[in-house]
Amino acid sequence: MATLDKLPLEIMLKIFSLLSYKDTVALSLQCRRLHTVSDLARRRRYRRIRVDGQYWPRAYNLLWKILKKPALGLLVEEIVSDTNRFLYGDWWFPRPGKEDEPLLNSAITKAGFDDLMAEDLLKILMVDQERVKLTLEPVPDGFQEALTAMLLVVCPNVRTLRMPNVNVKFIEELLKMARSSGSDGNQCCLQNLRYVDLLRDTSGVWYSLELYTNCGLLWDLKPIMRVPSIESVTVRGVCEDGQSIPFLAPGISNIKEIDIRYSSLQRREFWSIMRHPRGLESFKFSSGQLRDLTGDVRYHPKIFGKALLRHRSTLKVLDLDVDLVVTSWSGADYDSEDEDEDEDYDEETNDSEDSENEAGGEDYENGDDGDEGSSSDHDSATSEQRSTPSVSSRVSEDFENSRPYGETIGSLHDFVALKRLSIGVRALFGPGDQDDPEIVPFRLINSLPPNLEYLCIRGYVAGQNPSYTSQIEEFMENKDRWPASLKEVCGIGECIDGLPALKGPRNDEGTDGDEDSGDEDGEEEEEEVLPWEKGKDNWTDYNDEAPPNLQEVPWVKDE
Amino acid sequence: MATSKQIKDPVKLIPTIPPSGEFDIANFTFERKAVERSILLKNMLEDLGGTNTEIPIPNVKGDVLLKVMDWCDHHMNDPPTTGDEDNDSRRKTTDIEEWDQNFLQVDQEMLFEIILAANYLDIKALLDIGCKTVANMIKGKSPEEIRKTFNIQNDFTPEEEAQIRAENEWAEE
Repeated sequence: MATLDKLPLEIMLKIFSLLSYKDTVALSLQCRRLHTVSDLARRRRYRRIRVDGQYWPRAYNLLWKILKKPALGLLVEEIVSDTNRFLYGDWWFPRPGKEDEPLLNSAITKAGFDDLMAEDLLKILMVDQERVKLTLEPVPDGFQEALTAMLLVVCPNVRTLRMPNVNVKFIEELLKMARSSGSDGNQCCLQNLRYVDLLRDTSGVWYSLELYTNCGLLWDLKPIMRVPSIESVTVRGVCEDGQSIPFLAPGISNIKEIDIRYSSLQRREFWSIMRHPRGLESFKFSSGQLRDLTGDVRYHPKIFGKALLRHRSTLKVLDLDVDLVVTSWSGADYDSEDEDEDEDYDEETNDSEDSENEAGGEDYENGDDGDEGSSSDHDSATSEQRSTPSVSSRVSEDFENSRPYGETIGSLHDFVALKRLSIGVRALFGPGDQDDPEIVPFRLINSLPPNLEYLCIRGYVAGQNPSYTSQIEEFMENKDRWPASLKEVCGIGECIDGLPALKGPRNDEGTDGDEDSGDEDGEEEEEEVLPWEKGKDNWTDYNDEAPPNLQEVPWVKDE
Repeated sequence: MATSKQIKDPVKLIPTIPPSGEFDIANFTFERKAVERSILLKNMLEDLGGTNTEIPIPNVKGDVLLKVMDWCDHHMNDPPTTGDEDNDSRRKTTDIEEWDQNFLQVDQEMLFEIILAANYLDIKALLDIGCKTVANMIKGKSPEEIRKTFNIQNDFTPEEEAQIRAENEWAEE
């Protein structure tokens, strides 16, 4: 006979998702099975918190709930604060009372914010009802950011953070504190942050679907990459704003995976990012799919080869989708000849080094007054300092030609850790079309990473280019010389394309049709979803969430 | 009942477990449109092609199938649900349309059977209102009231129960 406790799990979870926390507790007391399901449901429910759009009241309630019962904060693993989604909803909900203030205050102090910031946070989060009525502004400036920051403080198990700009007051401060924590016994927040998804900022005046979003990417990446527990970062649809960039000391970030796609980076930014990690395990990069108003940045394949060289003993996954913007050095963007080019890099790096040094110094000071005794901070500071006098040697080490590159990414034979390689044919063999050993100074069959398991070559059409074809044919004819581990090879028989360019002319078949229908529906904004944003709907659990029940707000007195 | 109407495009469903009482296949002939509320059956009909309109139904008791098809009959002209609608309907969790409320005024066993059938036959809207109905029966009740309502056997040791209560003490304020 069918009874409540014997329903299948997925149905139980569906029912639980409609209930309040209190109800799930009541259910967990019924029997073992319901206890297990309730535990699962609760974990699912608090796993992800959103601080945007219509979801923010729940996040605000939750902050207060956690302040009262900190154990609840342990369940939160992910915070999504998409500042592109303005807060909306019912503003006239009950606000915290004065008697709740000490709770918040002590959490802010414990987190280690300085007095000025602490005062700010308190003022913003203790939303003043009267003031709100007077100004007709539902929440004070900085509310979304302050709420996000405090949730990060009270939820120590947050592993994933998704938001557009971390280079903002409170968040940046938290990231900075995370970097220097642990040494003085001050248990800081963000000690479990593994993954940051830098959402694309779509709120700018100049924002357009098919344009790179101009941003100071490195200013965001720097504090993220210095968080001790960080493993992975994702960036989409940006280009650097051409302003000064911060100094990223080589070889000190713990980050293992960098995934930057639909983006355009200047060479110096690219270098800065690539040399920052101690040992990169996964690097995914695509460029050329969107439009840059100031003209596309072009890459010589050698740039990638050299930048990755530093990580050749750790890199396991490489996905380079840059064939749209790969160029040969004799192309229009590179007037300099081969020999000049390294100098060109050096010069450029030195240039940026100057501005970077300023930034680095500034940063050092900040770290200094933040926490003097911190060993990790000290280490990094000295390494940053040390790097200053030896700029030239480090640069020459970085840019040394360890193999002939010609017009290519160079031989990958000593990338001993590499297991998965996806690369465009132009980046691999160079954009040129001559089978000239000067230009393609290696044979693919002799140059494969020794432990490769998966190889995907994009954009190859047999017979179209004699140089590519001879390389690939030789590779396919000598399977006995493949690395023993190589199991899967794609893109030989049928052409595999890279990510589609979104910047195409407006009469592009698919897109235009979509937009037209969007206009008719008056929903064109909904239609404007870039490929990487489609997954957002799969930020699932949350959609199953019951709306915040205002009666559960802890400061609402029992009737 | 489905049989009282003129059926334009009939589909026969044959329950492997026939209903209690006399089994009349006429009672199990339904409008195709109603049957297609079930994604499982819709796909099956597509696979079978236009000619075969007789589908055996295991796993669902005849009585329950009749009840479920009652609902499908009533809702056969509803627009197909989309993801968006789904979100909207979730926003008001407790809201169940009046006809559906009356429809689900059944004993607990039947309610759970309907939910299981809706799950098996893949009828999302019916599954949703079934779950909502159960949730409404739970909402705001004390642990003791829930135990009584659903007649759940307590299999905790006293120590375990005390521990769970202690862990969750704050939620019961």
